[in-house]
Amino acid sequence: MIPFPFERYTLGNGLKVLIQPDRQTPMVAVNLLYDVGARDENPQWTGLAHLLEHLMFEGSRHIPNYDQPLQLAGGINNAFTNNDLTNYYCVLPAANLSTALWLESDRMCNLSLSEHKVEVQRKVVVEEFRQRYLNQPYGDLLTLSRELSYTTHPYRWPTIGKNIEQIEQVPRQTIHEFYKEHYGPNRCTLVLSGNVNPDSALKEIEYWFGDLPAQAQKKSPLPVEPPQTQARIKQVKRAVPEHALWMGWHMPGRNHADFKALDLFSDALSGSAAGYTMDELIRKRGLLNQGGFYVSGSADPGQFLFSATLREGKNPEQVAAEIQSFLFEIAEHRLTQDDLTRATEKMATSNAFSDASVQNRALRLATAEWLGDAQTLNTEWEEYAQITVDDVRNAAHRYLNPENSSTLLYLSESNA
Amino acid sequence: MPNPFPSSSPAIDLSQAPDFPVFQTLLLPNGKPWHVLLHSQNPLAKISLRYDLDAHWTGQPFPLNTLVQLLGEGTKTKTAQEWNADLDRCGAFVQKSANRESLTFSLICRSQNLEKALPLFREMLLESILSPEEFSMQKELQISDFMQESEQVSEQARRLSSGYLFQNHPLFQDERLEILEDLSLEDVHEAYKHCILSQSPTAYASGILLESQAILEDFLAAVSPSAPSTSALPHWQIPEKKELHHSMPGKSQQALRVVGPAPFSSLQEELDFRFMLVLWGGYFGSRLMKNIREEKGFTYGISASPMRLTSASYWMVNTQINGDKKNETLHEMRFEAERLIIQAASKQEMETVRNYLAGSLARSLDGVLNRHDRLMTLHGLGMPADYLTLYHQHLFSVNADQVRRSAERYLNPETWICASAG
Repeated sequence: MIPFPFERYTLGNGLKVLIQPDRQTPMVAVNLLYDVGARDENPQWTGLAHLLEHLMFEGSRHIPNYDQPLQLAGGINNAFTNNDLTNYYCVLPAANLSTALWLESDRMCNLSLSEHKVEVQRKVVVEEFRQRYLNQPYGDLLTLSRELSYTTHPYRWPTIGKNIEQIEQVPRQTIHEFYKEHYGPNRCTLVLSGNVNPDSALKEIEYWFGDLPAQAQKKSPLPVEPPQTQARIKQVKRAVPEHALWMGWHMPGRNHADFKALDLFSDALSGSAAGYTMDELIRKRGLLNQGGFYVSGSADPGQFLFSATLREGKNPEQVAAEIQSFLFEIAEHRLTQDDLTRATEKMATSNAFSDASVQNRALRLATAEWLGDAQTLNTEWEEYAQITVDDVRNAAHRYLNPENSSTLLYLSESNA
Repeated sequence: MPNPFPSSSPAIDLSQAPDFPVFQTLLLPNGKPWHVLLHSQNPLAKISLRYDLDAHWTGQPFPLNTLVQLLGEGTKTKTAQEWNADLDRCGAFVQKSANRESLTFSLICRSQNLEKALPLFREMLLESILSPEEFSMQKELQISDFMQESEQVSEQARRLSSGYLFQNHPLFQDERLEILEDLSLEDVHEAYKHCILSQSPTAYASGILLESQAILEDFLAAVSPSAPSTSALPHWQIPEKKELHHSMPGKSQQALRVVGPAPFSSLQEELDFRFMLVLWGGYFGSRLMKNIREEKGFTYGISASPMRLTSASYWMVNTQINGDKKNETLHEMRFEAERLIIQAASKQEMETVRNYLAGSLARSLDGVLNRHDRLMTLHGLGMPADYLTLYHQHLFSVNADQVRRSAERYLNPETWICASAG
């Protein structure tokens, strides 16, 4: 693997800063990862973290328009929210780094939330909800599967929110309070990747962010999902062309010792056209049209997942039983060290592709640091390379059991 | 944080032009050219082959898409699983794509693995067997994809507009389900024979290649038989304005696709047009985004893009809107087009778009893979080798009157084709 050199600092107000210099690009990526996601929401107002992400582009106390100055500096920006975090990034010519820092420092603590802007962004998010979830075949699968899998932890709702009504009705004051509670220098990891000098870049960061007040309020502890002891199954019918099947098994979060074994197992199963899913479930057994296994990769205990649409005439309940026994068959009898080596090799190449872009490098660094230590980017490949078939088998025994599973049978009305 | 906090941006500097890469054209021992970009920043290599289609094949998406899927899924010496597993051992990826005018295959890997991966790539291109079993499976998967896509308003609007745009031209593709269901393995073998085995592709290679140059030349010679070049497609002209609608009861949104003409008689015209289109609807701060999303909240997103093939060019606006906002959205689009035609853009707006595009240009050249893709696209469209330099110079010379005249020429609402579904 290519070493990933970077400098790490923490400002007096708790802002974590990572600088990864690269003299060969004319650009710099400025990535700010905030420790707030859908898991931090109140069940009454879900979708709030994502709505707030939209509003972060609607102007701050000293800068009424976020986008225009950045575009004037030759930059682009965007953001995403997931259940764990909210991430903002700009990529711009390195000579204009100050513009990005100026913009980000003002909106970190001084966001404007005018009535008009809030109302417009509610409508925009509602259209996003319709476009991505309501107006798409299988669009509510994610919502249903989370409700089925989690009883307690806030992973039980999706980032977009449980429904449109909550987005339409959340009071502006509640949005403001959420912002005040979750945004601030000590809730953020700031990463620069690109053509910057670490010393002068750090001085700039200190200039723009050093005096911002730290967030005094401690994060509320999240409810813990109790262990699942019995298989759960739910069936719905929808106007979709084919039956779909979704299954999830609870598994540890990203920092747990078993995470990598299960992550690599999902890659060996479905990460390549040579994997067991393609060769066995699609080609030889003819069960699936498309789909496969993956891990949710969340910070808190997440899920080992399977999602697929089924070939015509296949019974979803029978396929679900076959998937469960297939997992054990592979883990117990057929998985080889060569499967794991190939998956690891592919992972290394994927990372090398990803790291060709300053934007991806900055995001990978920010995420790794937020999870505990960005230095793991320099060591994780070796850890993956050391995973054995026995490690996978043991992890499969611990987590991929029927009593730890949730199954959603998503039936096509026309094929039922 | 400075006190007082400045309300205007720190000084900006876009004076430094990026380093504009160009392909170097080399000759194989058999005299065929290939295009190379040596780049040492990332330890990667990307090898791409573009096979241009003749007028018989441009209209046949289903045999071509199936062929693309079947290549490598079983060769003369390896099963599909074995071939893919060998590719994984090299940590290599193959990208396959089919558009209306060409098929493109790219091998991407770490440079140190290029020698091991190239024979697999060659095997995929020249020795795929297209077995009946794999064909049946791929056809079934494609039918499944087709049916799922048919449930999407955006896909129905795309099919509707494409069908109308390319009627009576070889670029027309009959995308009905029954055509796909009638597809035979013989059709795919024909496509393989005519579009790949007997065609000489255009070859591009980028990255750290020096140690592999000899083996790369052998590979390129092997996949480049002596073959007549594909004849150019006839000139395409946009049809008359029309409103088309595909009804999809029960959908809460409509997809709207608006298309207009963009024929160019010079590079200057095209560059003016590209600038104008971005200002109108091609970036987050564009007039369409500001008006239709940021002021009215009708949509999650709206974008205008230039659509450029070698034989056709036009522009297109795509959006998805609340079901009852179609007419209002079209009204606002016309309003913004007419405003651009009548009134010159302000100095500040011109500067914003210019700087945004200058930054986008530099960003699009970040890393070897981005550079490769950008140069390959430009080469495929027949753009001059110094296109990027000319583009950059144009950004700093175009004025508001050129933009207004370009809008007058290309954005006349009386010419628009509007396709909607929902």
